[in-house]
Amino acid sequence: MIEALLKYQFMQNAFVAAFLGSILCGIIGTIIVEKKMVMLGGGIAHASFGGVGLGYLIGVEPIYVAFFFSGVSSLGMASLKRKQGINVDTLVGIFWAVGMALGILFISIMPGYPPDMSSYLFGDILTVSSSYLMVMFAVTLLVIISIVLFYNYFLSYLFDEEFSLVRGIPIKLFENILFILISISIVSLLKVVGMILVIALLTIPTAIAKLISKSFKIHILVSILFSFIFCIGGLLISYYLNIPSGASIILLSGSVYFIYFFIVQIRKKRTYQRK
Amino acid sequence: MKNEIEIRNVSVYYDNFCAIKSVNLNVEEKDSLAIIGPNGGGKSTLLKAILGLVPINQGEIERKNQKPIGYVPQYSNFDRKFPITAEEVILSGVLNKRIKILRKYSKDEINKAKELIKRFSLNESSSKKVGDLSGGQIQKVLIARALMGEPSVLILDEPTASLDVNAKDDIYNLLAELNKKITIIIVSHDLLAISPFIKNIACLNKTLHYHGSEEGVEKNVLEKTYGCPVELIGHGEIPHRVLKHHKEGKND
Repeated sequence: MIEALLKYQFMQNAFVAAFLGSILCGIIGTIIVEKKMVMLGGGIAHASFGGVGLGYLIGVEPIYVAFFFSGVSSLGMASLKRKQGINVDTLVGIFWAVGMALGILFISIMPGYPPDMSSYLFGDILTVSSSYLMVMFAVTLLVIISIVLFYNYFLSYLFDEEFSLVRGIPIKLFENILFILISISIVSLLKVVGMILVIALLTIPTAIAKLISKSFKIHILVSILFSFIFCIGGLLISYYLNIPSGASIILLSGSVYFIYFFIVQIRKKRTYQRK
Repeated sequence: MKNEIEIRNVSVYYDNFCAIKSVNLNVEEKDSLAIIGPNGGGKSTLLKAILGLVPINQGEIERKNQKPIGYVPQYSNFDRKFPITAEEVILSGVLNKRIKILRKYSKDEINKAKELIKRFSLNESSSKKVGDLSGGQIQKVLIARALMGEPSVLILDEPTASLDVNAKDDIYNLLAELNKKITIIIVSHDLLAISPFIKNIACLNKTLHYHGSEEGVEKNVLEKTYGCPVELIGHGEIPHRVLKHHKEGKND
């Protein structure tokens, strides 16, 4: 693989994409898991399909339209969520399906042959272009800067929203910023693992990291490390076994999670028996 | 005595459901007040109205003090697995509406937190994950967090719910000590858990049935509040004082 990495531009791109994607997954994944917004993340990912479809229809780079589309729909979800009497679960389901439906509609009415959507649906890290990497880089930088600049506020908001509100911290502003960060991160991960699989890469590394992290900072860093291991490992498997990269990354993460889970369970049982 | 909080004729509705109705209540400075009542009686709503978390449909709530309110939420509502250390939780109590970029905690703030950690004997727990602490310790961490904002009044939601007797005592001793300097308001559905340092009691079940010193609470007021016969019994060993029976001739 090292030989291929030196030889082929697409392997270098894939490697950089895995690195940037891991940072995004580590940060955003940890936040959505801790704030119990995983399904909301899924909703945003699928709603972005509408943006991809619209991009093809109007002839603009689909990813840019998807950024805009999922940004607007996540802000819409955020503002509807605050209204009393609306169930977040239902809301996510509606955005999820309506976004997908719009995508299918836009693609069906565009003239000419329909494009191949599978790289958006399931991702293909080996087709990531240099210009896409620039977009990923910009998004990663934006996410890191936003979180670092307001780290303590975000931590307080994530741990105890009500207390932060009583202290006068502008929760609504932080929530909106967070929703935008989540949506742009998910869209920039589309080419890496795809909108259907992205939720796994956002949750599995952070779920493993959670078991061994004491503080939020460490949790994020360990999640980034696990994401990176899974992405590179998945890439290797995909390269040598010639299977789709999105699937190999997710299946590798899932297997590691279940193995780890069973080890923890067995250990628990043993310490219990010793007692 | 100056008033800390003045609640005038306050009603709160959720859609068409009336949670509290025409509540009048003055809380004096350095008072210690327990708001008691059955579940669903509007205690939490009144508390949230004071904190500004729910909109008031009628009446007004006035704070006479410029200092902030210290809020201690129910500790059992937290995700115990959230990766945050006790010290980080306590320090987050200084954050307020003045948002600063790259907000780091100052030396003074860290020292203040350390002082509270020492005072509450949390030394060994401060670097642990907050979820790994005992209920009583978590409660102390939340009180310390609220104190970081230098409040003039501390509002606690069910501070001793699901704590064992020793931990309850510990918390109440701590609150009694704090009460020398600041006002304390406790919301509780547990009649027997009212500590001796509480000076006043408000019985709430949609409307305010009684407000005054604990000695004056009559059995029939409690029955009206709880909507069922209330037997005031207590064992000698219970370290908390039990509401007394209606005294002959008083309040008649």
